[in-house]
Amino acid sequence: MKKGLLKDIINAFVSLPKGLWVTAKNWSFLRPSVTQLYPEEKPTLPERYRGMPTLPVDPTLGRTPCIACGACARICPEHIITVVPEKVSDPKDRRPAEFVIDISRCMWCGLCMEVCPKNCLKPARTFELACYDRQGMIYKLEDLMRLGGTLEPQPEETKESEGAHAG
Amino acid sequence: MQIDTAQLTALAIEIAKILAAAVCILVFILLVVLYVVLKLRWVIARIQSRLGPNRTGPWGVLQTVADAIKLFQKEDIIPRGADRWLFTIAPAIVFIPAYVVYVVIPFGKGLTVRPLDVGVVYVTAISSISIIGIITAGWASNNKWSLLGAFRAASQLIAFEVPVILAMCIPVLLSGSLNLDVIVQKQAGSIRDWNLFNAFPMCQIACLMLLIAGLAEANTTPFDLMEAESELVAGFNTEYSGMKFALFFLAEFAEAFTLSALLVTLFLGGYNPPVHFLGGGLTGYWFSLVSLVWFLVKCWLVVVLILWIRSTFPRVRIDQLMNLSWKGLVPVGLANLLVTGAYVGLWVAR
Amino acid sequence: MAILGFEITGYQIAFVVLAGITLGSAALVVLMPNIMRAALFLGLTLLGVAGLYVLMNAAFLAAVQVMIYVGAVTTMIILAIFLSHRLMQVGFAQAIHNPVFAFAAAGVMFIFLFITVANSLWVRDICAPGPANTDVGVHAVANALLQPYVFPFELASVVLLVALVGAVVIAKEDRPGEP
Repeated sequence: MKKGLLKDIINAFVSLPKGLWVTAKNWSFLRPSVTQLYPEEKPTLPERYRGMPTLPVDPTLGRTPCIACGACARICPEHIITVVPEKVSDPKDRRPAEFVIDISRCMWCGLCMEVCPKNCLKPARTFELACYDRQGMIYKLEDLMRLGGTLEPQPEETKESEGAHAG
Repeated sequence: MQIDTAQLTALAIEIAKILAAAVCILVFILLVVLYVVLKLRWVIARIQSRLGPNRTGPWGVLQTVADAIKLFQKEDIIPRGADRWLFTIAPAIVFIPAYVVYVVIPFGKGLTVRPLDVGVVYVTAISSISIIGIITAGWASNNKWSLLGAFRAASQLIAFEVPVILAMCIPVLLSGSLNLDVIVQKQAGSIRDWNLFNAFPMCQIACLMLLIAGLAEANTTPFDLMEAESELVAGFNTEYSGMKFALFFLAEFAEAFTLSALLVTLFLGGYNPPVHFLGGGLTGYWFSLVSLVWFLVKCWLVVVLILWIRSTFPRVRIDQLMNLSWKGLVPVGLANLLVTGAYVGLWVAR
Repeated sequence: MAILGFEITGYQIAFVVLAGITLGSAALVVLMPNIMRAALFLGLTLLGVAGLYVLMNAAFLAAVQVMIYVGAVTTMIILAIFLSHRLMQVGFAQAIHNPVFAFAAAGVMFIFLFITVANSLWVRDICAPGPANTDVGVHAVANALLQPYVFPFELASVVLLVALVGAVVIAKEDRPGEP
C-alpha cells in the first residue's frame, strides 16, 4: 500500500462534506441573492458615473452655457460631435445652433468632457440607451439638454486649476 | 384458414398497452428532464447567490420549456467532412438505451412496465449500449475535440461500469433476486427495513460506490470529462445542434434520473413508505398511487443531492478519474462483494 | 396467419427478423469498406444474437450478451480502431487480402461448428416447435454454472485471469529505476 493512501481516504471523507457544507450555507437563507431584478429594480449609479456626454441646462441662462467653440468636436477621436455656432453679433453671447452627437460610434473616452472650456459637457446619469433604430442614436441639442438635466453650480477655481493643468 | 378474432383482439390490446406504456415513459422522461434542468439552474444559482430563472412564467417554471422550443427551432447542421450517416444515428444510439432502461424501473406497486427477472443485469446491459453512441458521435463529427471526448467517454464509461455492477450486486445478494420489483418488496415495512440501514457496512459502502460511479456513468460535473467545456469545447457533442443535440441532452438527464431511481430502488426502499402509517396499510390502487408518490419524493431528494454535488465539486483530472475507478472503487467493490457473499451465505442463509 | 400457404406464428416472424438483422449486419461487417462502420455493424450483429437469446427464453444470457459483447467488446474494438494511428487518413479502409483463403477458412469453421451443434444434446430442445418451454431463468443458470459445469466455468475464469495478467505485463512500461 502506498504511503499516505489512508490519509488521502480520511481526507476525502472530511473535505468533501466540508465542501458540500460551504455550498449548503450559500444555498440556505444565510446568504440572500445579490441579483438585482433590473427592470423593476433600478441600479443605484455611483456618484461619478461616466455616462454619455450631455449638455445640462444652466438654470440662470435657461440653456446650456456652451459657447460652440468646437474643442470637443476637434478632440473627439471618432468625430462624432458636430457643432454649428449660431450667428450672433455679440461675441460674448456665442451659443450652438446645432449640437449633434452620434452616440452609436462613441467609445466613452470622455475626452470631450475633459477639454470643454466652459465645463458644460457632463456625463449623463442614465445607461438605458437602447432604441429600435440607428437614427435614435443620434442626439440633437434638445435631446442632450433634456438628458443632461440641470447644471449644478460649480466653483470657479476648479476650472482654473483644470485650465492650468491643460496648459 | 380462419383468422381467430379473439386472438387478434388480444394481440391488438397487447400492442396498444405497449404503445401506451412507451408514450407514458416518454412523456415522463420529458417532464422529468424539463424539471431537473430547471431545478439544476435554480440550485446552482442559489449556491452562487443568484436567483436563477425567474422570468418565464410564474417563478420561471416555463424557462426550460422555452429553451426546449428554442432548441427545436435551431438549424440542423451536419459539418462538412462528417460521416453523415453515423452522425445522424449516433444521438438515437445514445437516447434509446436511456429510454428503454425505464421499462424495468418500479415506479410504484404494480407500476412496472415489465418486471423482468433479470432487471439489474438488464439495466447495466442496456445502459452500456449508449457508450457506443457517444463514441460514434465523437468519431463521426470529424472534429478533434469530439474525438478526444469520445476517447475519454470510452475509457471512463468502461472504467465505471465495473464499480456500478459491483455495487448493484450487494442488494441483489441480500435480496436473492435480480428482479427490481422483488428487491423493493424485500424492503417493505418501515425505514429500518431499507437496504441502506441494514448489513452495516457493506450496504453503505455499496450505496456510496453506486452514487460515485453512477455520477461518472451519467456524466455529471465532477466526472464530466467527456464534455469538459473548458478543455474540449463540448466534447463528443461539439458539432451537434438542434434536435440531435436535444437528444443527447435528454439522454444525459434521463440517465441522471435513472441513477437516482436505481439508488432509491436498491437502497432506499423503492416505492415503500418510510413509516407504516404513511400509506403502508393501503391496498390496491390506492397503494399504487401512494407508492408512486413516495417513489417520486425519494427520487426528488436524490436528484437534489446529485445537483448539490454537481454544483459543489470541481472536475477531476483524467488520471485521477481512472485511478479512482481501477485502484479505488474496483478493489473495494470486489472485497465488499466477497464479504457480503460470506455474510449472506454464512449468516443470513442459516 | 397464413402466408403463401404456410402457417406462420409471431414467434417465427420475430425469429426471421432477428436472424435477418444478425446475418445481414454480419455480412456488412465483412463487406463495409469503412472500418468504423464495420465495427458498429458488429455491435448490431451481437445485439441480434441477444435478441435470438430472448426468443429462446434465455433473458439472462441475452442481458449478459448485451453487456459484455455489445457494451464492452465492441467498445474495445472501436477503441482499438481509434488507437491505430492511420485513423484520420483519407481512404483508411479495411481490405480483404485473400478472399479465396478467407472463404475456405470460414467454410471449414462453419462445417465444424455445424457438426458440433447438430450432435449436441441441447439441440433437440431448440428444435422443438414453438418457444422453448424449459426454465432458463437466473436460478437455473446459476445452478448449472456452479454444480454440473463448475470445472469448465472456473477454467474459463482462470483463462481470463491469465489473459488479464498477460495484458498487464505487455502494457507495463519499462521505466529505468523501477523493479
